[in-house]
Amino acid sequence: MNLCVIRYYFILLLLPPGFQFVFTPFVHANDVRIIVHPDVQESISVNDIRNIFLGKKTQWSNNQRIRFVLLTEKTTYRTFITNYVRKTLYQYRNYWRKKVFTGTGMMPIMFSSCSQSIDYVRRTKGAISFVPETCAVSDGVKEVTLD
Amino acid sequence: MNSCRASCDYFLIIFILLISDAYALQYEKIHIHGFVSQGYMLSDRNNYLADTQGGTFEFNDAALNFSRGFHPNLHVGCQLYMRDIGDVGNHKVEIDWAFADYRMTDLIGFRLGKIKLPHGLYNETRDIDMLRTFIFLPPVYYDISRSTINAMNGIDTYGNYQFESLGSLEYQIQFGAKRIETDSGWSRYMERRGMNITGFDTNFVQCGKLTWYPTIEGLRIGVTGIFFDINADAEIDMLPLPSQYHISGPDLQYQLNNFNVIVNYIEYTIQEMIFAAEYMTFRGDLIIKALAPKHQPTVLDIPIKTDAYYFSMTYRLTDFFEIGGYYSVFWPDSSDKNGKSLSQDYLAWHKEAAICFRFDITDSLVFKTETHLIDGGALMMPQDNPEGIDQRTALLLLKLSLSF
Repeated sequence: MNLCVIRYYFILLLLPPGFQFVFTPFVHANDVRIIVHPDVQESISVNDIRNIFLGKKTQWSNNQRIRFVLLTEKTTYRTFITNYVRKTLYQYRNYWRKKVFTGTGMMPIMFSSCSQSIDYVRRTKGAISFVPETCAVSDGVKEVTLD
Repeated sequence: MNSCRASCDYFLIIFILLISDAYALQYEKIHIHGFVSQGYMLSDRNNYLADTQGGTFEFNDAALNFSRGFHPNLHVGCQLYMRDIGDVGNHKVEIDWAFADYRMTDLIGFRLGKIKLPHGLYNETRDIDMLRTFIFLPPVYYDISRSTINAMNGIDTYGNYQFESLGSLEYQIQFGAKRIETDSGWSRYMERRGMNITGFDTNFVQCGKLTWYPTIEGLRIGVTGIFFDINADAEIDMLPLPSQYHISGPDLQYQLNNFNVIVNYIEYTIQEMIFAAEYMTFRGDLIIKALAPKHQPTVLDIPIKTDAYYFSMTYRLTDFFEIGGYYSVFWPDSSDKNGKSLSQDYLAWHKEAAICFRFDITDSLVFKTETHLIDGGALMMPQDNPEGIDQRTALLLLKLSLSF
């Protein structure tokens, strides 16, 4: 087989990046709100959010264990993962599957509804999650403004 | 016939899991995950890793893992794994990893048990087909080496540190002991060198990994190292010696001292694109001693200088479709990259170009098709190619994987 055909294979690889600028969906940065248990008193940065949801930051400054949960409603989930964790949904799912299949982590807790997420954060010390802007945040959880 | 029967079993398991709509399972707070993969390989000139010239389904693997959290800081788990590729694996179930993981703080945590060795970017996930784009990883992760650098029994200290303005650093330091089986890929590789390994013994193993995530979004740079010695007993099968050496008796002691494998890597992710490059060096002193010398003991001392590198790119066009490619080079002896000391010069290198198309049919079902164009015979096994090794090989791979 003529090895010169390799160069044509690699031309194929150069084509797809052009699609990226056409098909990448625009994601609104302000469509989600970050909520925490009222016991969480410290200021939180965007970088902290990223490290929390990647399992790299595991304790608050008072040594309390961080418990994060994911809301899997697709638009909210995609917005949060893209803007705050700075990964695509596929990359984020793969990240946690790698942890599961190498034993270095367990799959995060996930809820499909806003009310379930809020209820978990309200009753769990150290908990953090995110909800869509349209979701009413009740007493018992605190909305966070990021640094 | 046996491999066809096994392949049918793998397809059947995939089908059953599909129609049962199996997702990750949970029983009594124990999380259960797993995967099943069945592949097909076809090559045109040389057999590569299996009897590929006629096409073969002898290419499958499966795993099942269990994990449970006992405390926010502590979880325990294990993974059983089996595979068959050519005459390596043969569906023997092994413990892939099994350890307790205690995360004290972000800066330090401990794992104790059978732990995966850090080797480059992808060693920990080399067996998990659906976690990567390519069916075959580049020769930095050559399948033959899996038995040597896959996992060990020991302790792993790990953690990460966030700087103010320099990004973050992740580290791993491991100590332990490892076991290599006599039916491993490493044994097959030594058969190529004319030695039939009858027993392995390894000394204390030390490994480390350091990854820097600078402030450039999506970039990570790092290095891994594995250090240990291997002792083995071997019988001579066919050992090509320089004319002034003679071996008395059939038995040898084989030592690979100062074994160290170092991989430098860089990976850059920008939205749906991932660029990666790695450079591996494998160094050691191969010492061969005759066990029953009639005269003075004969000792060969051969320095091992193996180098390999690759660069790759992957791009995910949609949730359904991803494309990727890499170019890699492997020199078993980097002091003779052109093969001047060999009867056939192309046995001195293995140059490979690969392109892969991945289809995520559902969140748990993945199909891949991949083509490799190979120049060189450095990684072709004489045992698989008794009629001789051709310089060039084209390889087609197909693989179906189901995970839950």
